Amino acid sequence: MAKYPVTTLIEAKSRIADLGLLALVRRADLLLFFALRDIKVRYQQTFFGVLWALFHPLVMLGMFWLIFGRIVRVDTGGIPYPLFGLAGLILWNMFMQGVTAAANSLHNHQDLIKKIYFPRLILPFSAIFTSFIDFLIALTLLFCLLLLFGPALELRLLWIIPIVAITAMAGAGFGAALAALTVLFRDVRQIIPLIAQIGLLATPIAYPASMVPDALKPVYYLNPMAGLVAAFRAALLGTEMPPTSAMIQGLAVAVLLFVGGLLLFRYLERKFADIL
Amino acid sequence: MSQNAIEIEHLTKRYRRGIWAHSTMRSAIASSVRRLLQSGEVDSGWFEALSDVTLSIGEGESVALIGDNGAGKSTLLKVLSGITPPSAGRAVINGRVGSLLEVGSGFHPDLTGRDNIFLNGLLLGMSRRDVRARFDEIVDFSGVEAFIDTPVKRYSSGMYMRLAFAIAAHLDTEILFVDEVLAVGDVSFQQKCLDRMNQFSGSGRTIVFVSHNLTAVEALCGRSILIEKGRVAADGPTRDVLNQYLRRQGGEGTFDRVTFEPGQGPSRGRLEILAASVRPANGSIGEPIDVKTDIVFEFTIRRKGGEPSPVVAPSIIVTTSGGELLFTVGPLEPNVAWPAGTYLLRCHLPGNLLNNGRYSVGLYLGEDDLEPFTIPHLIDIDVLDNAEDRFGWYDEWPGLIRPRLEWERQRINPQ
Repeated sequence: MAKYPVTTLIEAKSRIADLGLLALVRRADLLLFFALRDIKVRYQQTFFGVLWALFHPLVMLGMFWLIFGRIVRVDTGGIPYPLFGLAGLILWNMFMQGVTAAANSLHNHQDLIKKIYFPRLILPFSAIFTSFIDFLIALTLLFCLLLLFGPALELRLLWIIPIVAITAMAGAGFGAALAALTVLFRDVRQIIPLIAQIGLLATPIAYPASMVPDALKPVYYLNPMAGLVAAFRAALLGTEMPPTSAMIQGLAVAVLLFVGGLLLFRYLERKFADIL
Repeated sequence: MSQNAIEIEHLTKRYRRGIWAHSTMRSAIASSVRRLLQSGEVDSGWFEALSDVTLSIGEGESVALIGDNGAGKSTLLKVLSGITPPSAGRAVINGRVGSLLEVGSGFHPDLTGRDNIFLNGLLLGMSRRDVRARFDEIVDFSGVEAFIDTPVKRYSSGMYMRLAFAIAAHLDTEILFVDEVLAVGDVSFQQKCLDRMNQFSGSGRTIVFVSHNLTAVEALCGRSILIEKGRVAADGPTRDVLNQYLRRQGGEGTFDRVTFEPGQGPSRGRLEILAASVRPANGSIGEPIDVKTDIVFEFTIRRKGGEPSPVVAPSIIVTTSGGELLFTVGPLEPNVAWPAGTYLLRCHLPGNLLNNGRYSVGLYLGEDDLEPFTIPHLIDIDVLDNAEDRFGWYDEWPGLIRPRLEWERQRINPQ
């Protein structure tokens, strides 16, 4: 336990010296444990266990396939629709499930927050980590399908690593901001499902980004997930990469979400125990 | 040079009365609009849980925070633990802090005892390696070994509490904040907890302890701080502070003395009670009485009127707070006639007889062959507990009385 600062100053003024990431690294054990605990508890006493992590995306994929693959027939560039849809869906799910869980994390742990001090940022971050584990399970399925039905594996696959990292970063920032705001205004909890529904359609998950009219693209790519999902799919399946300008725009928004979200969280953090 | 473990300067914590924050955006917007229109702070509903607290606690000290519910003790620990920020002032803490503000608050019901040990240990600031190194000790201390792989939701509340305390008891910090842990478990476990805390402070570490169990406070802490309405009301050796606290507490609703103007006192026939009081035999009225204290009752009685002098038979009536008559007692000598005048009756009640708690004292006055005159409740005695002679039992001492009796032990057969 010798890792802690030996002198602590407790003051009325808040001093935001950093984003709080150092404290997260110090307490990485706790962060990991929270994330694994959520996985464990979620599938405990269920018959299908971890398979449920696959069930939701597969049902959604089935719907998309029916509507966009069979009825609307979007152009997937020769990729089988299930692969095309799944590639978009799993990254989006990682983001949105992570954001949702992160946003509710403070509210769900209010007893803890009122009784024990630990870096509060651990809660939204561990939620993101949990969604990352779910993502890895789904990714395994995607790789199996890829080996069976997809194009040949290429080195461009490695691009998914930075893409997933940026997605997690954007999700952590956005989730932390929503979590902090939820403490102040319960209203925020009502808005989150709306964000999820709009985002699902405003991101190239069920359809390729190339279908978006050029005039709309600058606005479209303000959604950082638009560029990230398109790029993720391109890395996996060799579809068309989004334009570089869109990638930069998306990255900038992601960084902004991360830094802004964490600063907001740090600013409001001290009030949590009193308000919750 | 030894430095203070905790240095608190002008610490103040305010809460807004009522709903602390605006729980909906509408009310937030509404109130900020109102504030703009009315110019000036309209929210005057602040409540100070801590007001200008300044104190320091040296390294290795065991300090108890005592006071009524809502006095601010727990708020102080919360501020010092970093759970909630102060509104003004500051505190400097030298050393790593472990705090146990509510036993078992970090437990997850669906996880096994084993997982919860890890979770709680990590929450309280241990690393996974620390927990692993102490795991066996913790399990051993808790005594729930057989159920360690069972989800804690299936534990009895006693097991749950024991496991929770066991984890905190194995924290390795220089400073430990403990809030009301002795409400936990059975006697032998309580004793184990206290031993552990004693051991903790014996090893030069600092403990700040909040408890309503004043006997445990006395046994564990050399120094106590009395918090009243968010302020430090007394600070010093535990014995003195406890006395002060209990005297103040008794101030409302307790009557260790009562006096009447002549003619106003309870009277019948030719007898009138003018005063009654209780005090320690070697002290004055108002000083604390505990289970070991020798007590003196004094009654001032006026015998009015003329001859012939009646034979007066006084008796003290002692009743428990539950309304049970504990005993009545009159003088050792036969009753005698009282010529007119004012009399002081004094009765000695030895220590080690009453249990701790509150007793009512009344008077029974027989006068010749009239119906006896009974005033069942004149004054109260608040008998405090005493940590000596308890031999590790810190809970309620059962029984209406609490005599200390001689025992002998003889080994009459080696088998």
